Amino acid sequence: MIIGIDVGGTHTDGVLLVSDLAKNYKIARTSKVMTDQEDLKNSILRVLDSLISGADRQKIERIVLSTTLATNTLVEKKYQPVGLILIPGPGLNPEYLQFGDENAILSGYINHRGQEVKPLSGSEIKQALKKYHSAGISNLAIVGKFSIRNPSQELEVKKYAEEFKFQQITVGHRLSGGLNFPRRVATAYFNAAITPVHLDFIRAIRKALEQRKITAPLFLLKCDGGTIPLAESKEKPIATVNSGPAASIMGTLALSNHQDTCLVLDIGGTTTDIGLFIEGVPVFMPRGIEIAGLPTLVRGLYTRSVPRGGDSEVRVVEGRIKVGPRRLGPAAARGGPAPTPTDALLVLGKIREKAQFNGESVQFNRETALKALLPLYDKINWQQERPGRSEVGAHRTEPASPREKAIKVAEGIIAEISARIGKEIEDILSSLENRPVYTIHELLAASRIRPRMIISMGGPAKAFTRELASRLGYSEEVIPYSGVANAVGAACARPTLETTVHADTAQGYVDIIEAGIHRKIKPGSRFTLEEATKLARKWTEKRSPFRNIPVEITEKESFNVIRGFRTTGKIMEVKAQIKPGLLTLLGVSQR
Amino acid sequence: MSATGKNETPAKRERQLSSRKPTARNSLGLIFFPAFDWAISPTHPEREERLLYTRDQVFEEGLMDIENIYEFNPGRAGKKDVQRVHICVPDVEDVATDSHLISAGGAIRAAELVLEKKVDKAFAIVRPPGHHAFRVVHGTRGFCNINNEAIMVERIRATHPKMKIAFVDTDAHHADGTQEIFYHDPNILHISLHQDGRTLFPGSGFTDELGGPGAFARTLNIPLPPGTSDEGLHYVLDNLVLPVLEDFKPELVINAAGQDNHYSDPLTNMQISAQGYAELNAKLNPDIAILQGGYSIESALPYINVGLILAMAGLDYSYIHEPDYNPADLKQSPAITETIKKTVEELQQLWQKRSRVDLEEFYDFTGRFSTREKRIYYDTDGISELQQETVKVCPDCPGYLIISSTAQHSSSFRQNRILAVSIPRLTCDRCHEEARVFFAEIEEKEKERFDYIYLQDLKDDTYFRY
Ligand SMILES: [Zn+2]
Ligand SMILES: [Zn+2]
Repeated sequence: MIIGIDVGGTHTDGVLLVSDLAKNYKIARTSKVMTDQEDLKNSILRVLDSLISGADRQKIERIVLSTTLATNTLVEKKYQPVGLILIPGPGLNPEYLQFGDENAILSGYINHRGQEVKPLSGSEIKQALKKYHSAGISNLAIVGKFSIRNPSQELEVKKYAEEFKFQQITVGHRLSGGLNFPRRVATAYFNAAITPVHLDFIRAIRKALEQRKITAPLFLLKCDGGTIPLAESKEKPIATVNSGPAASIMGTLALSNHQDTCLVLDIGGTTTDIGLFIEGVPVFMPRGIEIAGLPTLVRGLYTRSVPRGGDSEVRVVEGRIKVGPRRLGPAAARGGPAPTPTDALLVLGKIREKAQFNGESVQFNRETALKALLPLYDKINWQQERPGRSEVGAHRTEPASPREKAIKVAEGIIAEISARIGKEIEDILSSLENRPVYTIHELLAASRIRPRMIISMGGPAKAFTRELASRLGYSEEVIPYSGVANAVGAACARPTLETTVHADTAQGYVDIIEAGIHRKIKPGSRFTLEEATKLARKWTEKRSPFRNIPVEITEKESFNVIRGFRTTGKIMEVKAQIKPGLLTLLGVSQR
Repeated sequence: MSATGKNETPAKRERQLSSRKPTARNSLGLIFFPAFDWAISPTHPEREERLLYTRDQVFEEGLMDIENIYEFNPGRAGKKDVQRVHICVPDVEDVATDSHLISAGGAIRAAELVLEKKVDKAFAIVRPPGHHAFRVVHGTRGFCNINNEAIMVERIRATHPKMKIAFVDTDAHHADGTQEIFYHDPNILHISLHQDGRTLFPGSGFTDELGGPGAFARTLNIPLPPGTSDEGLHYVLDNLVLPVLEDFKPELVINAAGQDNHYSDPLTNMQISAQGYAELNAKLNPDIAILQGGYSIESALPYINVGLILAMAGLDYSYIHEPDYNPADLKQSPAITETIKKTVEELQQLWQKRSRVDLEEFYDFTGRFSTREKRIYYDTDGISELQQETVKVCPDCPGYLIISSTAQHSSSFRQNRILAVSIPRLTCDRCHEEARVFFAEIEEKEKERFDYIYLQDLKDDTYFRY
């Protein structure tokens, strides 16, 4: 048995997966409660209790949670102050990196080869730490430029901070193997900010499971679509931010299990989130996701949110139909205050008045929808309103009856949405196709990414998807169980891991960055690219909580270091990963 | 859930987080293409490693995340792009590989971005460089095969034929290739600041190289003594380059941004610092910058390139300096200052009287043709070229060129003799007709004497080889 629970903004959903003898899992139970944002633990436990009531707790293989804890804490800024200590060296003016509630800029620095150019000053460090103490700060983030090439200065500051009895200390070099100092600073800041809240949460959940005599391992879903054991999440809780969209994409994968290139649409009340699989593998955000408007090094799945959803308010501004970004309430046809895209679908007969969404039955009133759309007709400047590819908009005869007018408005609304989403899709594809490359080989090999299919969740999305797909020229598939798709995604996802091995044999150092290893290469040993690759593989496997998940090498580069026409060594970098995928497959009947 | 920070209002935090994000004052397109899989040879200065540390520094600084800085891939220059500039012997495919075409494609992308107003400015950090490639190309010279910036200019002029363009080449080596390609072109002002040719490859770039009779003073050379520092460079900039640009009023300014006059460069003897470079760029305010040489790959390039990117973007570059930077070590001697002042004064005077110069006297020609003899040495490939270039001098147009060239390959005893007629885009109809008639005659009469005969006709945009 596997349990997946997804805490969403409004609902908390859970699924219990049970396997047959052939290890084919099926959804045995689902559960749904309203989310109590002030007490996420309680929402989780209510779902959990309902899923396991009467079940044999000893048979639970794992529990995977996708929570909004990190996201909420950051978005609502419900966190304790963070003291930031920067070791920037020369470069960009560090002024703008002072995200902390208190900030200190130290004068030491490490260069791009990981060489210490200027040592730290102990008195500077002590002065900063004293200042933070008296300001009542207990969370620290210590970040140096090029600290992933040599973490010694970050670690030195950390040692001082431990002597000063600081409680939670985030060091920049443990957060990612990627270069980018400003992102490292932002990531460390956010990580430090959520650490106390995260630790409280872990403690509370652990206790609750003990009380229920559940011994199964507990995992959290990360925003890269992979899971992480609860204990290991302590050092880098920031990885669990924004796991909702990742749960949705992994749920789509679990419930459809396509191996080709397709778009994933998650059509909600106010937004439509667009995701992408390339040959069955979810695509990552280049460089890292943004949190609170700041780019970070947190690896996350590619999603783009378009402010168009089923309940978006529809207005006419300067003669043009404008959809969103606000939501004033449910669809007019369900008693809401403003016309919405859902009303448009009703008027067009794409949704029935008596509908079943996510197991809930919903009653719409088509006449109300019609009445809500009709007043827009005269405000629209039909000359400039592009008719889109709609058959109604294309013919020029003036509609006579109110019904015909409302239909024309409804067509206009759907055309606006599909044009906007179509534009976003084009934009996503072209930015991925034109992503920067740095070798002639990659530049000449660049290929086009052409998805043929849109996959989306059921519910009101079904009618939308059908409309969007046909207008934009895609085939479509609407997956079942959409109400609990996120929870299914959490339950089925496997762990993800990344290992970056950076070796500079001229300097005589190798870094296994994500494992926190910075060590000398044995003198005399000939450290080769093969060896670096082996290390990357080994450390990825070693850190994985499950055996037999394939590790792939994603990047490999090697440069001869030439000084005075002589090769003095090599600089190599190898990245290995366990990419997001499914640990558990649902039986065919479930897809 | 834990207690929240009591003194912190959300508004204050919001301010701290987002308002500090830097935004480039000028939107900047970056074409960063280090060609990590290409080298002239394994230990050559133009090797895979050249932009490795620059990549590390640029990425670690997070420059690509800055609001208003955008990263682009290079394109790949087409055969015709090359033919508009070069006469490749025997053909384009023999001298330009993918790496060269992509480097030129990087320059072209930079120009497109600026001309289409997608960005205010663009910087192509591409390799290999181009400024030592002449019109006739027999092989690799000064690490260059084809002239990226000239190819870019001809692409620009395919749609903007009369655009006035200024080059300021700040590489430590004289930009002899670019100079030669535009030597007779009155719409291109080519200014090169470089280490004195008596002390460095390619041994040219003296104050008396001033352009052809149809483009007098459209070529300016400022040879700088070895040991010139930021002070000397900025003296030239303030007192000569900027005033000349002011007078010329170019529609486009291109900085051929070589970085080998840095104090740590292994191939040259100059004393320029990253701060000096960045400030030069800020003052010059170019629309487009294109990397040229620069072989202090570890100690200089990472810092210079970050400085240039920030300067072009209109951001604060005052925190950039090399690990071993010490301004006191980089002071130039009074003798150097004196020499630079004299050179600047000479060129100032020349610039002032440029329209009153008796060209027949100056170029020592009578009638309608002016001829130069050139010996060009290809250091990289070991080729000696002897060239005779005759330009038709026409009061109405830039005329046309007749070039004969013999290249001796030292390695193979191979010799190539070629003859070419090159017709600029803005040549008048009479000269165009005359050049084509001439070409038809030589094609008939001279083909025995030459291995190849070329026609490079930009006016018709047609290119032949026989
Ligand atoms: Zn140079
Ligand atoms: Zn003429």
